[in-house]
Amino acid sequence: MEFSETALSVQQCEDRKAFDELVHRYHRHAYNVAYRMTGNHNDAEDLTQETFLKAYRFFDRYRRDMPFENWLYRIMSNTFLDWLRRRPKISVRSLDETIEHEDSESTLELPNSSEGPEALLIARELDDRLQRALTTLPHDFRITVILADIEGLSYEEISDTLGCSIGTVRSRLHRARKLLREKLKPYFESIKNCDSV
Amino acid sequence: MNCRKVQSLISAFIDSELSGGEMLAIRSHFRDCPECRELLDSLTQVKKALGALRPKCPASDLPSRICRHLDEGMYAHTHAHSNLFFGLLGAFPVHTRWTAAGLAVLAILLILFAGHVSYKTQPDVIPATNFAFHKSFSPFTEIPSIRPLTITTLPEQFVWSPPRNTSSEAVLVLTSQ
Repeated sequence: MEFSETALSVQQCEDRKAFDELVHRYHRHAYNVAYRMTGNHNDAEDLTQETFLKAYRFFDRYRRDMPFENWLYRIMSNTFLDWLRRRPKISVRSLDETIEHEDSESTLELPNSSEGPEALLIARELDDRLQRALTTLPHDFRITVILADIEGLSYEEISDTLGCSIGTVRSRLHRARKLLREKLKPYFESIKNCDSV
Repeated sequence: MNCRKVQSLISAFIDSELSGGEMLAIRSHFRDCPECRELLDSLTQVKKALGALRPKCPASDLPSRICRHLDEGMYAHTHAHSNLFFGLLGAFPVHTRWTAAGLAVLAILLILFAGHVSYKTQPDVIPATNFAFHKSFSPFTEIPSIRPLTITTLPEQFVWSPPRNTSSEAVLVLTSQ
């Protein structure tokens, strides 16, 4: 596989350039997961940076049979757990905040030009509610549902990534979805009522 | 299958992570159980909503910032032959490392102090040359103290003499009455 071969090159030739390529290739996915874990831009950036720096530091321990991305998620999960232990209150900011970037990007999301402003508003509201609900989940449930439903990993992949059994993945995912369901029930019902009008 | 069993497997059913037999049994249960069907619908809605979330975009300079930190050497790239000491040190929390460092410094200071005191209590070793003794001096008497003196003219009560006890390395002193 192309990505594994790239990772192997770093290990064998200690080529910083190859690792930089991995950073450029995976930083978007890593940031997305980090954002869903932390709920805000600044913490997501910090978590992403620290994850890559740890990955570089411990690259000699990377197992070639695991996709690099999954190994990165494991590091991110453990790093975030350390954060929670050190500082239990991770700030959750409104997703409506605009972030200043060097290239004048002003939003956190990829714009979808096919949607009208109303659809965009509904999508943002759901995003906001889902994100708030996610940050109320225990760490283990949160990372499991993010990897399964946002990143699309199979139970086996999640099991390998997080180092737990498939039965544990199944249980955590089910409980996480049930908790989210309870948090979002009023919102889903309000949408249902609006649609029926 | 009863409702309790089915409800515990609903998420796995949604993700098609069950065996063929289990999938069929649960599907059959849904036909006759509106409560489980409602749970199936709501959990499916949650999964779809999560899957429809738009990816969050990082700042465009994030990868270059990460690479810059690597260039600045904030994190050493360790290998199988990496420094074992720093590898072990990194396994301990920061406060433990500082405590250990402080104790190490204290131990070194104590060793130095003990060595200094020990050195000071030892008598000055005087080379066994140019000794003079009082004529009444007996080699069998206990030498009470050491008091080296620089003498240019030997008083008549004293005589130059090599060490009396040649079988030992005893340091002899210049005594004066």
